[in-house]
Amino acid sequence: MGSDAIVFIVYLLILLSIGLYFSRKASKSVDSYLLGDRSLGPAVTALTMQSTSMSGFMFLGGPAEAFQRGWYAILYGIGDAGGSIVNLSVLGKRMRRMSELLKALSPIEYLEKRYESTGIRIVGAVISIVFLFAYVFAQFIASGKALEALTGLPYELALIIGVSVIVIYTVTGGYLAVVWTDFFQAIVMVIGMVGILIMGLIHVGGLSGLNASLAQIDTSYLSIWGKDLEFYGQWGVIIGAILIYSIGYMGLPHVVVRHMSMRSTKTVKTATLWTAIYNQAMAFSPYLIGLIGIILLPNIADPEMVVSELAYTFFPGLFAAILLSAVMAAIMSTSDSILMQAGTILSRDVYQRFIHKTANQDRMVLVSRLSILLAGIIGVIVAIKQPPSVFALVVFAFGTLGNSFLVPYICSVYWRNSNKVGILSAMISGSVSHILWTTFDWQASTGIHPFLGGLIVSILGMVIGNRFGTPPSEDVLDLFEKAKGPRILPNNIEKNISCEISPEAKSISIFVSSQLSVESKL
Amino acid sequence: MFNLPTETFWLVVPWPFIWLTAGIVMYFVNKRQDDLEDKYYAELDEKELK
Repeated sequence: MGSDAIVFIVYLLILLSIGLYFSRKASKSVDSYLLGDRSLGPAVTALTMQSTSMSGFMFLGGPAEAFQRGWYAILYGIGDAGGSIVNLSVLGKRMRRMSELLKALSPIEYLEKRYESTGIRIVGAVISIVFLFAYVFAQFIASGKALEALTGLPYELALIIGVSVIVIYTVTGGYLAVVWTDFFQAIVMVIGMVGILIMGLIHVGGLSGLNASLAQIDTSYLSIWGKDLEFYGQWGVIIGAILIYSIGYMGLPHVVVRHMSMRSTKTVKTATLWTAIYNQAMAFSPYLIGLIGIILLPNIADPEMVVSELAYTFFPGLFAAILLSAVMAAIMSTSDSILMQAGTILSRDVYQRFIHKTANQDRMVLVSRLSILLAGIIGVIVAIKQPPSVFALVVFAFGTLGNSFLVPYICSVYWRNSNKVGILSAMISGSVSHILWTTFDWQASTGIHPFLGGLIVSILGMVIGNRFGTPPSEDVLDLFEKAKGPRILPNNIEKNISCEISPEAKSISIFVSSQLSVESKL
Repeated sequence: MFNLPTETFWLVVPWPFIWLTAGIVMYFVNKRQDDLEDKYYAELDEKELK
């Protein structure tokens, strides 16, 4: 057994140990299993959010996109680098407060309680389950491909090994195991990614050397409009490519649930700082590595294998083993969160809501665990049968989820009178438009990225649909006001107000005292 | 710069700095809000005790 295999096995054992460590705590209650008792601090919140967002796509799909399209692919990195900053700043505090006030344990339950609509829960659960599954299939395929290439095992066997580890620690340890393994894996990911980037840049003569070499092959690699200027002048494509990962995270149920599990609203400030620093190191690297691959591995058969080929060709030994762990870390940290979320939705939003309303804590934890196991098994079967490209599947599932839930989550905390008809319209129109846009390749005819197209339709659906529904009840509106937090005026404004009202106050006081003196004389 | 066309350079290179600045600014904005909230709740507790 080589040193790389030993390092990797140790790595998997660490993940399993984390899962087992949290298994007792996870079984305590549904709150513990599904949301970790809302006890996560800033560093864990930031890094679990980040590693969940950055999937196997970062090590396979992203570099392949850069390998094929040149500097255009970096647009996805631009969005990714700011995605969690935007997410935490826009939704963080308000969603944390609102979810606790509504006593919601899942992001779909949250929408149902905010808008008092069973329809929202049904539609939301269906969209989430279908596209979370598509998303997790992409991760499973990535896991099989990476392990196959790096260990030489057959694809099917590699897939089963990778998925089994994820399912075991997720089933046993629940949400806490997921977030703590994510935290650990986020660190491994950044070490692997930045390490290979630095070594790659040294090989090609730095960023300037890389670009000079690319220009010698084809100058259009350096263009932001894509190779052969494929998207020249299509600002709708450029803006969509940036937006999908900068604001799209706010529509992913398995990512927004991180807001709900924070220890308090104070977690947001430090988590924002953590994610701002982490993202700048991590988000651009895969695309730059893809560009390095054009120079160092021009004849590679599968561009999704650029990162692993680079590691094994140019930096064999222990570093390659760390990189293998990093690739698997990216895949596993996303898969476990999606599986966890799929299990939560199936147990909480389907089983407890529609099948067994009086299910006790133990039964709920058991149903969640079985749902995760079932999702894992189905995922493996589908991934073995139909392995499409990781990039296409991730962008499709990500875009559809983003277009379905982005507008509803933002409106839930910023639009007081948004109602259930508006939310349903936004969810349905957003998802349907994204599916149609992708299936019929409307990007080619309109010059608009599917995510941007879906977002525009979803916003229109929200605004138009909202005109037909009735406003939420007074109780919900009251909670909405509370979720904004205490209305405090900063000291300088209070001072100004008191300065501004002082002449009036003085006049009133003179008037009142004169009236009193007149009364006393009488 | 870095042998990139001007257009690509200016569309890409400023972003890491923009995001870092945004993260730092949001840290201080949230810190200020947290401090004001603490003060508000402390005053509220004092009033209730009185």
